[in-house]
Amino acid sequence: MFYVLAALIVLAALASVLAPSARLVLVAVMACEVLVGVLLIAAGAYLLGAIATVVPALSLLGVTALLRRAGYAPLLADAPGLATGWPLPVGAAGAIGVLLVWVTATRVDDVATSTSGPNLITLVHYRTPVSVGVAVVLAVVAIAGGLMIGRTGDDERVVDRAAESRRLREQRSRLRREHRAAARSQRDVGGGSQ
Amino acid sequence: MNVGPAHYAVLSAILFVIGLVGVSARRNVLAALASLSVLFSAPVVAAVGYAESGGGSIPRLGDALALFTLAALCAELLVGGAVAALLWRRAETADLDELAELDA
Repeated sequence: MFYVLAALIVLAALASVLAPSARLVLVAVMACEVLVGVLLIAAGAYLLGAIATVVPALSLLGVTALLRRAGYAPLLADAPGLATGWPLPVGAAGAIGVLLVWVTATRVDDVATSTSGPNLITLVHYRTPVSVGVAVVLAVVAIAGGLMIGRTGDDERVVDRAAESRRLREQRSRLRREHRAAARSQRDVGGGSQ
Repeated sequence: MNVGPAHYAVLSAILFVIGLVGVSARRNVLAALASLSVLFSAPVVAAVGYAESGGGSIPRLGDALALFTLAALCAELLVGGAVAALLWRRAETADLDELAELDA
């Protein structure tokens, strides 16, 4: 079970990095998050698994719903591929990956365990209500922040309307110029032939 | 074959590397955001795998840390999506290279 889920998670993660359009990227990352949630449930963390399955998927759906509104459609279309100079970050990530796999696969059982209780992490301790409360506050602040950043204000609507009317005006004047130029060239051709 | 903390740790490392490659090498702002989500999933898998495999001396600490990471993941998705929309409205591009040139 673990191996099947792990393989599916890695495939979904790879698809989210390599997919050619932003829409496919969002679908792949949603699949990856849901599969991670299923893995957590299979590992025995039932509540956390349920949260990991539902909450990130809902966040992604929210982002997708926001970007499906008029005006953002091109944002969900084809996504350009890798940035210029991509071999350097890919090489660095590969080196970090080799180091991580080597350390975690060979040394994870050597992690020192303390019997004196939580000294460093005093905020979360192991009181679940505290950590749930802090996580909920963080999520609420994120939602409020996202709405504040992503909202369209009255002044922006006015500016958008002005920009749209200017674009239409410029398009009309360009078309008029082209028509005039075409008529003049036709007249010149006609005059030359007479 | 028993699944222990090392298995979760290796899966977490693989997810971390895939996310890191996506964040640093993709040009589209939404694709980079999605890769950041994959990167955020890595510590969740590691913390829960370690906690559920009986590691550590503090009961449920792995679950608490994973919960924080999930909250941070959702915050990143929501705020990042809003920032992507804002960038699109201002610059009409989602290409990180072009946005960097605009900034310069």
